[in-house]
Order: sequence, then C-alpha cells, then structure tokens
Amino acid sequence: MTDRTHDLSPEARVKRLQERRAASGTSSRTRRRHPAAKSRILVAGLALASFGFVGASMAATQATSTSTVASPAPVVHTVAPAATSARAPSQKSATPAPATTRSAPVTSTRGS
Amino acid sequence: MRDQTWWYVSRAGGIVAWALAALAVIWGLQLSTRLIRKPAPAWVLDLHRFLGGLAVVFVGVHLLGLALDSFFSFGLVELFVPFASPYQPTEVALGVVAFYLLLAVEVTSLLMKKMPRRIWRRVHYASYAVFVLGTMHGLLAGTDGDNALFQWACLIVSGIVLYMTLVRILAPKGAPPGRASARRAALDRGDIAG
Repeated sequence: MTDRTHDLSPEARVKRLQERRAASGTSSRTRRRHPAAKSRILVAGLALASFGFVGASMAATQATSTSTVASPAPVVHTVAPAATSARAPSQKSATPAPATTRSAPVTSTRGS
Repeated sequence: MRDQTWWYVSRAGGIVAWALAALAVIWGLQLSTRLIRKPAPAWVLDLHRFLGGLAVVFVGVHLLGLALDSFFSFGLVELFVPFASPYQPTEVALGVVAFYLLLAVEVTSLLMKKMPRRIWRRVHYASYAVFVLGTMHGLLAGTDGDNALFQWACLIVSGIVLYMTLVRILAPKGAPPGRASARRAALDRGDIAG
C-alpha cells in the first residue's frame, strides 16, 4: 500500500491528519492530554492499596500488642480501658514518657 | 467506627503521602537528568504531575484523620499554624511548613502557563524542601519514626534523591541530558574514577 503523504505540502499533511483524526472520533487534544493515563490508574490503585495495607497492619500490630499485654487477664472488659488509654501501637508510645507528653497538653476523650 | 480508626487513617495517610511526594521528586529528577533513557518524557511528566497531585490528596487524608481523631483534639489552628500544636510543636511545624510548600509547588505548577518560567522554577525548587521537611516530620513527629521499615525506606529514598540531585548538578549546562553527559561531567571534575 502506497502512502503519498511525502508528496504533500506541510499544510496539506496537517489537514489530512486532522481529517483522519476527525474520522476516527478523536482529536489530538484528547489523544495527548494524559500520556500516562493507564499508569495514573495503576499508581492510584497502588496508593490506595498501600494506604489500606499500612492502616491494616497498624491495626493488626496494635491488636497483637494488646493481646500480648492482656494475655494473663481472662476478662476482656477489665483489659480494654488500660489498652486504649495507653494507645501504644509502636515502641515509642509503649515507653511511659511519650505517652504522658502525648496526653498531657490536650483534652483526652479516650478512655473516658 | 472504632476508637482508633482515625488515628490509623492519619498515620497511613501520612506515610503514603510521603511516599508519593518522594516518588514525585524522583520522577521530576528523572525528567531533568534522563538517567533512565527508555520512558518517554511526556509519560514521565504526566506521571510526575499526577504523583504530586495524589500526594496533596493523601496529605488531606492525613490532616482529616488528625482532625477527626478524638485523642488529640487537633483543631484548625493546631493543624495549619506552625508551632501551635501542643504535641511536639517543632516536629509538627516541619510537617505544616512542608504542607504549605507542597501547596505552593502544586498551585504554581497548575498555573505554570500563566506565570513567568523563572518564578515557577524557583518555587519548584521548594520540592526539595518538601521532601526533606516531610521526611524529618515523619521520622521525628510520627509514631512510626521508630519503625525500622520506615527508617530504611527514608534512608534508601533519600539516597536516591541525593544521587539524582548530584547527577543533575554535575551535568554540564546546555548539554543534552542523559547518563553519558552526567558521567562525562563527573569524570571531568574528578568525582568518579574513569
């Protein structure tokens, strides 16, 4: 199949290109607006998945540390207030000093 | 909703926002250095813009989680005014300033065609400050600053940003961007062995 676009002037080439794109239903503006459209969707999905994964792993770590602390106690309702007032999902808040500084300057509604 | 859910939302949102901002910086440096030749510049630029915008969204999630968490009682003043936080005011202020700089970078990027290129470029250099301040905020103010995984992530990503920044600085002005030109410039300066 022969293509005679090389024989045409630049204006005629542009005109032919525009006609082709109009025929296919897409303009150059819509075609080139987001060159990474699929990658955008992928990145957004990965970010959301990471957000969920990180949050869930934090909750799981908190649950594990709470159950470790509460393991000797057979009754659940006696353990819950202590665990929530400590609010120690990490090693930092497990130490007494940061826990007191964290709760000191603000009005805490947790544990009440 | 459980008592600590907003706390997890805030922490996870902050970590993801930091990761996205770091990726946006790396993608921006890839644009200017072309260390990896294969991806098309238009694709890298488009993703770079999207990563920056997504970072702003997740910073919003981070702030929303803090505002709705009942333990801290963070109000608008504590969230948006540096050093107003009763909890670790300096470390939290790093995050507040990083947020404002991120907003400035994003807004000027959206208005890039309507403003002088020189001003846009100068504001865009604040991306480095966003990355540094955000990293310090995460390591010093966050509960997850003690997390070894997060610390390693910060170290590795900071190393990548530093390396790409050095490549960009060492690349000669006016030369086509790329690995070869950057390496040539480094060789000329005696920074690396031939």
